[in-house]
Amino acid sequence: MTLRPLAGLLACGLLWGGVTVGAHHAVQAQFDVNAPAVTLVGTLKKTEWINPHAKLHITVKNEKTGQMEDWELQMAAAAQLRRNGFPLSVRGGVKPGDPITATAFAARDGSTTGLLRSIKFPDGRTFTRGVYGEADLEK
Amino acid sequence: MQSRSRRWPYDLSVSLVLAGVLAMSALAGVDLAAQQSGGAAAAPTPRLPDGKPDFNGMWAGGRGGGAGFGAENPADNDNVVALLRARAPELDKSAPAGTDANYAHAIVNFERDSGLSQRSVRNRPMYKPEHWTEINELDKDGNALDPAFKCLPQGVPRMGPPNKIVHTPKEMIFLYGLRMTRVIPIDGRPIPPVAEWIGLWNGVSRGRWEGDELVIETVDFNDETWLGWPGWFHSIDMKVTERMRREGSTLRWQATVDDPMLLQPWVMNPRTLQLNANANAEIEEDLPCFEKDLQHMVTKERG
Repeated sequence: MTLRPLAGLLACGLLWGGVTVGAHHAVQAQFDVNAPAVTLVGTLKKTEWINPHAKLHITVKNEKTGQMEDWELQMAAAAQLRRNGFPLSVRGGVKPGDPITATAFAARDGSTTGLLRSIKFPDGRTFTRGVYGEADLEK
Repeated sequence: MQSRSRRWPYDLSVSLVLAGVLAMSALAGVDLAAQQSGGAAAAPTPRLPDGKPDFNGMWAGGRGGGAGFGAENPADNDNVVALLRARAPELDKSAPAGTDANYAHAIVNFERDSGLSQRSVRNRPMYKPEHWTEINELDKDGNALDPAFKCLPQGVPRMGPPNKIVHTPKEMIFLYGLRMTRVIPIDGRPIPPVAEWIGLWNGVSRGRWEGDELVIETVDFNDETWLGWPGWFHSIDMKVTERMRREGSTLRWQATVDDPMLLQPWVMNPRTLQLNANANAEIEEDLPCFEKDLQHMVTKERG
């Protein structure tokens, strides 16, 4: 049963991500996970510490219209982000207005929302565990 | 830059980490019961001055969710393991690790395995035939209908055992995540007459002792909650009986659902909680639930 610990970790991801904050929904119903992730270069606007998913807002310039747009990116549950060491705090960390590069799976309805894939911070660090399940899957 | 621990002030979420570790251990095939029999459960059970087992404390590893998964049921565990084992090679072969293609497979499989594993639990409520069609529809296309996904309370018994208990001689105060609290009289007062029932998310509960076992009976529910992820609804005539027993530093919780919609009472899998040994453990703020995703769903499919 060499795969049992791996399966246990995977199952834990399911439990931890889903049960702690309530019900899971199907990401494939909302995001185009079969297309390449889009890259968003902008500035940090705010984080929303809410359930069932924390949200990261970044301000991005729409190159076609020249308008600044608010992109709302879905992250994991806050509890899981904490466990993964999410490096964004209100004080002493990255602050609103700092440059952020994010990759995300775009929403299927064409809105400026997405499923967060990765965040690159001003100091060059990249955080790739912002979406539920990924940390456990990478183990 | 500061160190991670200083930069991230919430690293003190000891209870969450402990709960995660316990869940991982249980699901990784560690026989929790065996551990308890040799350690925690063998410890003396503390008692209050009235002689009753002391339920006070933070309790980890109970997990919410009506399905309960199979952590303490080997047959259910095997189902989950079998599914995930089949998926693992697919992740490895699909694309180089870290690429978007690999990731796409991972996240979709994660969601779909979640749904499959939720459905694979063998211990299910057995509905009368007239409800089977609706149950199947909710299981398949109920993505936007799960009350918990809409930030409504999971309710009793779906939210499982409490994370913290304050035990007084006359009442039990149960603290959950999910911004939920129950205050349960254990002073012998009766359940209010049916004519006074109004239909509640957690119902009206009364506790009593049967020896060292706390028995909580709950009635007066609404019919807005589900018993579990697969769409298991219930009626306002549901009655839930929870049985809790402390042995050493463990707390056993088991709930049974009686409902006229069911062919027979649904005896949920028991769950064993561990006392958080950290005397300084704190409960963090429960974040508000704010549903923002339903408007962006383009299909009804579930995980």
